[in-house]
Amino acid sequence: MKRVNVSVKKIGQFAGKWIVIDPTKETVIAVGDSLKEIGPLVTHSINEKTLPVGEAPFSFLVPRKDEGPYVLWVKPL
Amino acid sequence: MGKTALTTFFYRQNPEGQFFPVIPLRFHFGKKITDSSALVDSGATISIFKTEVANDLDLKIESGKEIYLGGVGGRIKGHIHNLEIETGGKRFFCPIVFSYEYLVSFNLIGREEFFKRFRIVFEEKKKLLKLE
Repeated sequence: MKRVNVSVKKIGQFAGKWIVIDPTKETVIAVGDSLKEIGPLVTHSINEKTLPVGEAPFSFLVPRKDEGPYVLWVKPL
Repeated sequence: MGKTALTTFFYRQNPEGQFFPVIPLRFHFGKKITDSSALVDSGATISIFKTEVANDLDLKIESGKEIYLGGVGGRIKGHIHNLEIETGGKRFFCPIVFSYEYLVSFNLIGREEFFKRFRIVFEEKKKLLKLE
């Protein structure tokens, strides 16, 4: 995991990577090749004090550059 | 009449500069929580997430009932779990499918259960999603 401080507007440089977004600052604060790598910033024990959803940093897999356009529909068969 | 809370989320960009209605949400499972995100997709009947999210929670994917999902790209196999999620000021159980065959980067929040819990407003022009 690499700690960074980059505006979410410049997310393109992280294509295909798992990132951690701090929604209060609209910045990318960490980047990794897997969710496990960035896990310590987004996954916690229930005993730890955490920020409310919407303020807490969260994980996001940045789509690859060759992905999309999408037709995203799924239904149980 | 009771006051209903409104939560507003900005759309998120992909590397091509296109915007998508992706919202943060928290999973509660066992003694762990994880803060993840997903695209709110009215075209999806059910929610589907990357298997990495289940692994992060120490959730055994195969313990869920086997399910097959159809989409534009054909049929994929997954396992369904009823998991506790939290977003927009609400916490509730929602069916979530995890599939090794789901290769799109976005996790998807589909209609089942989630869409019953909120009034959902897509403000495409302002690139905002509102949960009420």
